[in-house]
Amino acid sequence: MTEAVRSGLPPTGDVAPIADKIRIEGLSYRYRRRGREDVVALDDVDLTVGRGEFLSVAGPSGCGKSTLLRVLAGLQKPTAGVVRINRERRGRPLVAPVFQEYSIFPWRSVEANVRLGLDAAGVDRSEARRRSQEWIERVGLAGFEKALPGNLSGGMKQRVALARAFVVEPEILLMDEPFAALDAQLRKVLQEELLAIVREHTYTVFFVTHNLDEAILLSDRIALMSARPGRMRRIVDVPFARPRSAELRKDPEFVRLEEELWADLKGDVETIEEVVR
Amino acid sequence: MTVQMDRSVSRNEDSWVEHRPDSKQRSTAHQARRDGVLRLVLGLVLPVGMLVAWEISARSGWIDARFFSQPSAVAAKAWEDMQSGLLWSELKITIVRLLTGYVVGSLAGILIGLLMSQVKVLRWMLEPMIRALYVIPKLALLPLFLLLFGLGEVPKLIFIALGTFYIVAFTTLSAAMMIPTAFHEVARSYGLSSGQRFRWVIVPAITPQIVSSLKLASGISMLLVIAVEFVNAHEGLGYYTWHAWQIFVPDRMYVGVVTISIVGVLFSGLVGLLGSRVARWADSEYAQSR
Ligand SMILES: Nc1ncnc2c1ncn2[C@@H]1O[C@H](COP(=O)(O)OP(=O)(O)OP(=O)(O)O)[C@@H](O)[C@H]1O
Ligand SMILES: [Mg+2]
Repeated sequence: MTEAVRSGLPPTGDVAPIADKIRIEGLSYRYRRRGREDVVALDDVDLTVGRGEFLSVAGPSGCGKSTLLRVLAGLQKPTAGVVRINRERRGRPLVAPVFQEYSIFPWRSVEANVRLGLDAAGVDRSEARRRSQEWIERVGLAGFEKALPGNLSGGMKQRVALARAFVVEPEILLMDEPFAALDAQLRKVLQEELLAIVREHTYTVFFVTHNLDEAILLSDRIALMSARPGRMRRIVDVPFARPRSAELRKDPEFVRLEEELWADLKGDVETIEEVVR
Repeated sequence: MTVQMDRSVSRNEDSWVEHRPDSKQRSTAHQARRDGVLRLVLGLVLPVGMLVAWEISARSGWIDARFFSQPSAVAAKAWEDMQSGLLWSELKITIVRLLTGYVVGSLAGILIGLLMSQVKVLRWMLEPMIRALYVIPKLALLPLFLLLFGLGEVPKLIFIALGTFYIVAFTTLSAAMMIPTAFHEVARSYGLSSGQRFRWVIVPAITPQIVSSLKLASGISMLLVIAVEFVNAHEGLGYYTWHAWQIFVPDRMYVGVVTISIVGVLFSGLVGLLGSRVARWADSEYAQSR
């Protein structure tokens, strides 16, 4: 979990109102393929995520969103550029990812899957059980503690993966389309749950999504990416105050922003003012 | 095509495709039991029919009973050898060889397979050789084996163990190499130590494949025991059978063949039964294929 951490930042840099949590500078990532040319998944990406900020990343399929997330998780090393992540506290996990393909272990029960990070950290068994039970209930899986993943639906598996990330209370949540497999109602419930969770725990959240409505509702800023090679196209501030609720969707400004972003994603908008912070 | 619509044709094309519960799902416990009985009966039709045909042919002189014997004579011989204790002692010797070779081979296979999957140097060193030897029928190596290790009891056990070892080691290695990257990434992301990763990811992930390789190996080790006993032993079921052939007691030969089959089937069944308890999760994960 510490792979992506680099120290040695100068104490004073450009004046930033919020302390930076993640700094991505000139990041490129190429998938090397034997005998064929490399796939440039990310090309010279610059991005800063503030402490406690909720940042969403949207963009066409295959533009490198998951790649970016995996670099942040320390699972893939950048091929150029650098990622710096600020660690506030020893003992609290730095990042916990929720993967697009959930990746829960089919041989562990729901409860044991949720407990994974706690088990690994050697958290006392009864404490670990109590904490994972709490999260199992919050994601609506009460009664399925002993079930094996093979008997769960896709949406249920995804919720196990969510609970597994929440329970370790990391400094940064990395979420790759975490609600994609859920139905509309459940999606809304979990979006609100996520809003509440983020409020309680002052998480920094890096959130990948296809769903602009969701991005606007949840985030402080939205980064739009362009495809092939994956670049930061535009970063948009979401102007709504917190705490937010689902009512926000009816706000005309919300609707306007969503339409604007849609148009942009479709590539209809050619020139746009770069709102880079 | 004419512009005018032919109404009758369009009505014919308008039909419903229906999906209903199939009869298997609807069947009650009673029906399931009846299916079970039917299956057993149908399964017995051919073997019993053949036995009857064999007996009749021998009695009516269509085949030469001196060569081919007949079921009643075989049964009488089996009874006789059981009474004298001969069959039991041979059986015991074979089973001890089988189990020893199989258990040693399996354990070594799992261990070496796992080691190879975790230690690159070891893998690069051993994999080509195991791969090459894997494709050679182990029986073809028997003469070489006798030459190398002589005629004692230990070489026999090594030979049987080796046959099991290859399959299990090879499967263990392949399975461990094919664990989805996603699982390793979860292990890394959630801070599993290498020991924890081994116990909580690698071992459970490959258990289903190990179990199926153990089933496969159970049949092969049985084959190897008998083969070794055919050519190079003075006791055991293989020797019992082969010797009966050499001194021309066909009744006894058939007793041997049947006993060997029964032991083989029971052994595979036992391994399968134990194996299916080890990786319960795989049942629900791969249930569709059943
Ligand atoms: N293991 C890999 N080997 C080679 N190329 C890869 C690999 N993984 C991803 N790519 C390529 O990198 C690019 C970015 O992939 P990535 O998974 O990051 O996209 P994404 O934005 O997450 O897409 P989606 O929204 O569909 O999940 C794609 O063009 C893909 O073809
Ligand atoms: Mg993706």
